[in-house]
Amino acid sequence: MLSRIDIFCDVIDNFGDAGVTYMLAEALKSELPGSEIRLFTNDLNAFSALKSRIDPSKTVQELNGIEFFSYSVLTEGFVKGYEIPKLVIEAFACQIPAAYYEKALDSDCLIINLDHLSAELWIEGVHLKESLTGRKARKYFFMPGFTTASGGLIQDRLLSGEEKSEKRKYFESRFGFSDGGLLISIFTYEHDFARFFNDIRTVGKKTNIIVFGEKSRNSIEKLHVNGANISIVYADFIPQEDYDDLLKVCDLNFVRGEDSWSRACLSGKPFIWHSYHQKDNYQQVKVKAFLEYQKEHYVDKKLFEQYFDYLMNFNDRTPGLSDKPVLFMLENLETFEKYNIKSAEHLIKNCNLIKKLLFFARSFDKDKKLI
Amino acid sequence: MKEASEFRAGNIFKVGNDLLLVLKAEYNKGARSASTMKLKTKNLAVGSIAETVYRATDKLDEIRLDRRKMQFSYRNGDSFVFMDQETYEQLELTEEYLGDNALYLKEEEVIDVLLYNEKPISIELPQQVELAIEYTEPAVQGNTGGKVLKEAKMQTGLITNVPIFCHIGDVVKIDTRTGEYMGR
Repeated sequence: MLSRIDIFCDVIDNFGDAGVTYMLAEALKSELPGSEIRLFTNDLNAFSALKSRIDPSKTVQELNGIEFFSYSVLTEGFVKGYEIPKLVIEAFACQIPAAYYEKALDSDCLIINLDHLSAELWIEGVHLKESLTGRKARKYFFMPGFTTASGGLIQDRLLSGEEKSEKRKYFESRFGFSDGGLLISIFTYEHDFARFFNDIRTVGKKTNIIVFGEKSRNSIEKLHVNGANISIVYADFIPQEDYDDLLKVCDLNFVRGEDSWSRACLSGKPFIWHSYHQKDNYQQVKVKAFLEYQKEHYVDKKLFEQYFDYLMNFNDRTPGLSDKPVLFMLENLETFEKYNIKSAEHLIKNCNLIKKLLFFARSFDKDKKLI
Repeated sequence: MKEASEFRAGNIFKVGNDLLLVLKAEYNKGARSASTMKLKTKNLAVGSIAETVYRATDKLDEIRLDRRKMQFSYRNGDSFVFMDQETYEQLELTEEYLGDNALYLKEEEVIDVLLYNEKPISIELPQQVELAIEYTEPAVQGNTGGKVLKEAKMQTGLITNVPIFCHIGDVVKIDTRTGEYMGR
């Protein structure tokens, strides 16, 4: 059944959409090496930023066994002669271009509405529920999450101690840090980091910081914090697999949105999540739900409460609000790492998105009377 | 066509050849704009009940129904009896057809009964109703801020959260779309 899979991705902002969708395509290719994986997108530039070998001027191309198509090829003429595969995935609940979607609805295919990652419990009630089309195609919602009853996450693996040490040396050298110290990565939306740097100075350790993205750069550069103990490098985007490895060797990571957040959850390292800003501060609901999931892995409940308060405050976009102190975290990074390894191990063992997705698709193939 | 997010218990939409009566509608806000509507539905042809999910922005084919203003007279087991106040004709609807709407029905309330092929299949509620609190725990002294909520059971059996200052017997306004407290 799964000799070919079409994935659709609307890049709405930044690189998270492209990053997660590429990771999905790559993971499916790895699991099904004999299958054709096609990725259709409205923005090849975003993929090119992550994978420099992707040429945004080419409407059709192949990289690492994955075929990339620009939406512009999906003309009525193209779609007319195109055979819809048995599995079609709408990444991030995107809208498939009309010509293709209409044809898909009349074909014998399974359409998966692959939604955003969330720790909210309501997703379990929506996961694998059918969205009735009234046509030949069957469509289901697939909800990535942190529990066994959700769709899980696209997996990664933890590094061994030796691998961590080797890769850390590599990154320190790559970013020009020669004298050891704390290693921190920052990739956030706009944020006032004054309190954070104040606490870094209080800790008094040599600290090396790699800052990614314009928004983090603009937030930090104006603070003029480079000094005797603090070294900051403003880096260009690095290949995705390098970034994923970097998260696994830093002592602390600031991550944002969904892509880097999901990788941080699997890194086993302490992290601060900066959630995508939603109307009426609604991101706070998402952050709180994630913290509720994390809670069970934190044995030291007092430390967890401090982490809870800090993260909720960090994500509160009420104007004029300042960060809470983060010393509790900077002084307990090893404890946070211990808890986050437990959390990552749980996710790796129980929440494999690709395995869950393929299991569902294969079950569907065998018996279409799922509901 | 109507967006899935606008559907409420009592609405009917058409999928393929099937007419589905919404028994319960649950809106969940997702990341960015990817919110979902989970609908518990009853297939009016075969009577089967199922849950289906749509994006909040999906367009569904709503079926317009005939309506009659009727008074809710009384409940008889699973049946809810409504009376036309001009002709005194009585119609019955079972709880199965009313879904969550049953939780907002007070005796003597006049509402719209919806008919399909002259057969009553649902009701349409106003956006808010006033219900008396049948039971709630007393407020804890010193904790009477407006933002603190506690559970309360309404006269119709609906359980929802109300501010801590509400007492048994208070009449409160409830949003029939969400079941949430709106005010006193």
